[in-house]
Amino acid sequence: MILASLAALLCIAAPATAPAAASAPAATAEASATDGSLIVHATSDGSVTVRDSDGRIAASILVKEGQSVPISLSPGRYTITDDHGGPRSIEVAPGGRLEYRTTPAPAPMPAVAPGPAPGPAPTIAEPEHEPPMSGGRCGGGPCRRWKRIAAPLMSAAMPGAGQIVNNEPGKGVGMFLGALSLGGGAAALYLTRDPLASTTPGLNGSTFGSEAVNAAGFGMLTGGLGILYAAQIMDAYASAVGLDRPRPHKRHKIAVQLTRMATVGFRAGDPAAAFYADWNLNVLAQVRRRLSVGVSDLSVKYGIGRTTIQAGGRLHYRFFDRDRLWIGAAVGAMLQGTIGRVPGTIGEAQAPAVKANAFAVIPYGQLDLRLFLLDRWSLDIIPRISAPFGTRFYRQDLALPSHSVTFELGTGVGVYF
Amino acid sequence: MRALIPTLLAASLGLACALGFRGATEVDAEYSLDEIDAVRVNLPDTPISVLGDPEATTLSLEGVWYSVGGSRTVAADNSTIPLLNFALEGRFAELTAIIPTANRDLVDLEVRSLTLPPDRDLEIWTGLGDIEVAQVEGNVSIDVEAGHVTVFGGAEGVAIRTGAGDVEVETSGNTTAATDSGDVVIAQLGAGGNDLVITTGFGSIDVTLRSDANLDLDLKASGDIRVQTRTVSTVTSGAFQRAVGNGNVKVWLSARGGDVTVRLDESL
Repeated sequence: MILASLAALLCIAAPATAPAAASAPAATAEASATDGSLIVHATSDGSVTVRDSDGRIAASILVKEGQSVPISLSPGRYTITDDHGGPRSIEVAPGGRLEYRTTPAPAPMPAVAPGPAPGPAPTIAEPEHEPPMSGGRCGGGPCRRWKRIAAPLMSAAMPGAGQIVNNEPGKGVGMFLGALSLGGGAAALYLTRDPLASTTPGLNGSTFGSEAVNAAGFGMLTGGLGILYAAQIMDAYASAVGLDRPRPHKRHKIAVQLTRMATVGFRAGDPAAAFYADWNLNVLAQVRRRLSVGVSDLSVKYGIGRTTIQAGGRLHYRFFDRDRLWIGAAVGAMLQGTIGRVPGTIGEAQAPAVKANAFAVIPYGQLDLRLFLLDRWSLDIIPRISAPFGTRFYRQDLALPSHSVTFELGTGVGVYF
Repeated sequence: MRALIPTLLAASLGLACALGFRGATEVDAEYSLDEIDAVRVNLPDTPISVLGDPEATTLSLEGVWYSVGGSRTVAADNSTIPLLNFALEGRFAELTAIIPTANRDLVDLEVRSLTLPPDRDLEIWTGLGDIEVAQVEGNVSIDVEAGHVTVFGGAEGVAIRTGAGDVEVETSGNTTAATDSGDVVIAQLGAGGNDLVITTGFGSIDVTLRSDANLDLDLKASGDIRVQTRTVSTVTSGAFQRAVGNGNVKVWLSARGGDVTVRLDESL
């Protein structure tokens, strides 16, 4: 509701003529041909400050109730504050015109009144989220534009490094140790698997318990590592821009999710249990408020002597979205087409003919929890239940049989446009 | 709401599993080896135990196809779908498994026993599985991705490669063996004087010779090298080379992650 109100108030102005300018008690920038203009309408006495993206003051004026003061600004992003509200970000286009109505005391929201504009329509940047003013505190240090790029990149290169760039050494070390622990644990589980443990005759699946525990541990550690890795990159960016409370982009048109659906499954041979992971891509369009539909579970899986192409459709409804948490539910179906190769045989006699290709349909239902660390980026946790009709293939030599009820846990990231 | 999320997460973590059933079908097959000199057994992952039986005239296989399915019916059906195929080309035969793509990763063969006449050459290819061959006096060749390999016999020669696993051979034939990880123990039988070319990536090599005449010793080890025969006696490390007599019997041993020991059979 707040976001909707803000969007209505901060609508694009297009005034045919500018209102009569009152005298400007404080400095305004000199106009040039490419400058845009900002008309400040005072709803109460007070001051208005405009800062550029580096936090430097571009203009500072004192206004009296009822005044309208024009300010000429070079094209770019600015942040406006007045005595009763802000900061609010604006983006000034060349030759564009914006109008800003000061926050009436004690009203919580500033407003930009609509009006005609002769030039290109100016825009209000990211109406659903206004990063704090540059020049303030971002993370543990002052805001710097270069950190917005450097911090997430550093975190991507080494977990925790971006937090250190943001002058948050404690958080950075914690992130690094967390990633190291999860990665080290997963590597240890992987490396301690002895291939010779399953070569002995007569096992008949008796090792299922220990192998299932090993597979579950590996899956949880790697899933946690993936979530932590993505989270600390997002956190580095959020701190670099001074973002404390993200405002999820509820009115997105397209959502793209990269997800790893994982489960522990059983095998016919030895090892008798294995970790089944299905990395896939999902692209959903929000066709109505809270309701999305699109293609899902896109992936290609290479096995031994086979290639599987997977795609599907999904219908998703978001039934909870408060603060940074969304919860939704979805139903969908995956389709798997598999092209296989049946080994040849020696001699002139024909080998028995068997099917080299396969097809499966895998319907599913899922919950969908999304935690936003940035306005347009979420961490996703997705419990799912499915049952394949036909053999469901995974990578390498892993497959789940037809009718096998499968509970999966997905982890991933989403981005919203 | 605060309680809901952890509850959902905990539940989903505990529920990340696939449910189903197992099935099994016994396999008992027999194939004629008339006019066949060599047999290749080319099967998916399975341990294989082969016995050379002087009374046998056929290749006999006993085993089980194990399977999984989402229901008992599906599991049972899956175990009956794979086929064993015995193909001939001249005096060579090959035993393979034919499995439809849709079932390939849902079934597993376990060979309990394989018997054949001892004078046939034998070649075994598989993935995961321990291999044991006894009393087959023809040429024995084994290629396995992971598994311990034991050969007693192979008078006409033994060739072994395993990706991981120990190798143990007792033979009167020339022997070539390689394992990426595992110990190798070779004991010569008969008069000796056969070539030995042995490599292990991580493990030790222990060789017992029946003869120390005309040796071409080329030994490499990251650990100790010990040679104790009537003609050569040394303890060293790194590498050791020595020719004895006309040097026409290769004893080339390489243990990149262990010791090499060469000794002469003390019973001589």
